[in-house]
Amino acid sequence: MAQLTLQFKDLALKEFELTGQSMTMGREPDNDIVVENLLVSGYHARIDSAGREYILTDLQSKNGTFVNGERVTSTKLKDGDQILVGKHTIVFTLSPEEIQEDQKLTEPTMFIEVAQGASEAEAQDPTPSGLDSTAISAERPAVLSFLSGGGDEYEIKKKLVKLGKGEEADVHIGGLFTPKVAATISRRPTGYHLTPTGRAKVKVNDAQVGGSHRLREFDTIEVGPVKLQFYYKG
Amino acid sequence: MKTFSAGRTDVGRKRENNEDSFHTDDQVGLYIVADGMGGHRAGEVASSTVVSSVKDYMEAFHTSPVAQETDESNMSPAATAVCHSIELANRVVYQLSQDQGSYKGMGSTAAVAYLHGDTLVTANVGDSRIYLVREDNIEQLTQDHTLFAEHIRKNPNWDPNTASIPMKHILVRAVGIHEAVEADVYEMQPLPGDLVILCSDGLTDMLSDDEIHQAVLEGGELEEVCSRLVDMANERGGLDNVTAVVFFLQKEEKGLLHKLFGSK
Repeated sequence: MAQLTLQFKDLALKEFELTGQSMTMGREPDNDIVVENLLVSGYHARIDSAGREYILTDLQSKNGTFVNGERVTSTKLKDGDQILVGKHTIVFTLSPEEIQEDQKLTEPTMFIEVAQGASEAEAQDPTPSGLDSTAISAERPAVLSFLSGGGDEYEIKKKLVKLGKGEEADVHIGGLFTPKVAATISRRPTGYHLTPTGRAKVKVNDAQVGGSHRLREFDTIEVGPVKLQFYYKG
Repeated sequence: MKTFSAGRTDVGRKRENNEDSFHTDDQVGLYIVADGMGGHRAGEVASSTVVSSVKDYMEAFHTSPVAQETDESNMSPAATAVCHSIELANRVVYQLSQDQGSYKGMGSTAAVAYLHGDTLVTANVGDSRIYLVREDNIEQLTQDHTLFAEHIRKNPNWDPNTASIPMKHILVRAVGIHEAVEADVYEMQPLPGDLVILCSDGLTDMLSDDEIHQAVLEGGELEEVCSRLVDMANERGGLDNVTAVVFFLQKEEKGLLHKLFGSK
């Protein structure tokens, strides 16, 4: 059984046992661990027990939750961890039996609720400039801007965008020799990928594309009489 | 494009039950891997229910691919159908877990690949993965729904050596835990010569992407490729159930992967 000791400076104020599925801490009186201090949010953080694991989740508190001096959003707790909320410290301790068990067994897959707010808060964060995280690039909205031979611009909202002359094409491309679908752009975790269907020549930055090509910002795509530029929106 | 496939699942070296399930069907173009969780036999029930629900729904769609009722205008009918099939699986597993005490809290991952005409739809919930091996590249087509992966996505500069590690086995999304679930769905244009792998975390916890890629490039029959992957995971410790499903798109012309898998 995990134990939590609430401390202020060096003074131990109260001890708690983590008995149920989860435990919350914060300023509001209905928290399991009530910490009366203005630096502490109403519902500041939560500890979930998931199998043999204990997961601490910051509930988007105003002043943050720190474990051993590091700010955390969500983390697995280990024996002896010091959780700082406001000016209070909560020391997390496992029973000796639990520590042994922990070392002995491999972890099974578990499911946990994650604070819904956390991801929303992250989404509002401006993406740092020059960030080359491929996972993020697919979530960034992108557009195709016509440099010549077409309309204005096309915002890539679909998972799979078809370029060509046919009715099924999302981006219409004229020209006598343009096939119904000349190429596709797929939006997936690793980014935006351009794949020619092989029925027409497709060039990116003046070089013909063979298999498929992961688009980088400001790539120019040439299909038949049309030239498009790929870039991220906003 | 013609496809052929193979799949293998193994209990691993440490577990007593195999809670993974899989399905392959080259006629329909449907490939599924599900990794269940829950006490006693509940994990097996959850994963096999996911497989059978997705299979039933997609086979019906395949027979009569009617337009799907949907709000999602950014997806094709086939992608929407895959989405719906996972939502159906979610309802069935959730209902079972509500009705029967011993199934309480059970859930499963789902990794689904569906080839429909000139579109490949991939979808996942949880930490079972789908990889695309195209020419000399391996690309993960899914994102893990684990605390670990979410943490890395939000903190791209995070150094796992200096900070406490949110565990890899904590799922933040699973099929059958809640009344509703959202699957990540992607669509792409498959190319002849593509090879796609679906697997449970018992494989990816033991092997890196590069090692999986190398194991595929050793060639042989697809059955051998699956066995090679599963054996490698077991040799590394086999801490979990291991499942690997592989399918290959027949190529007309000569390519690297074609030489390995296409020449019959």
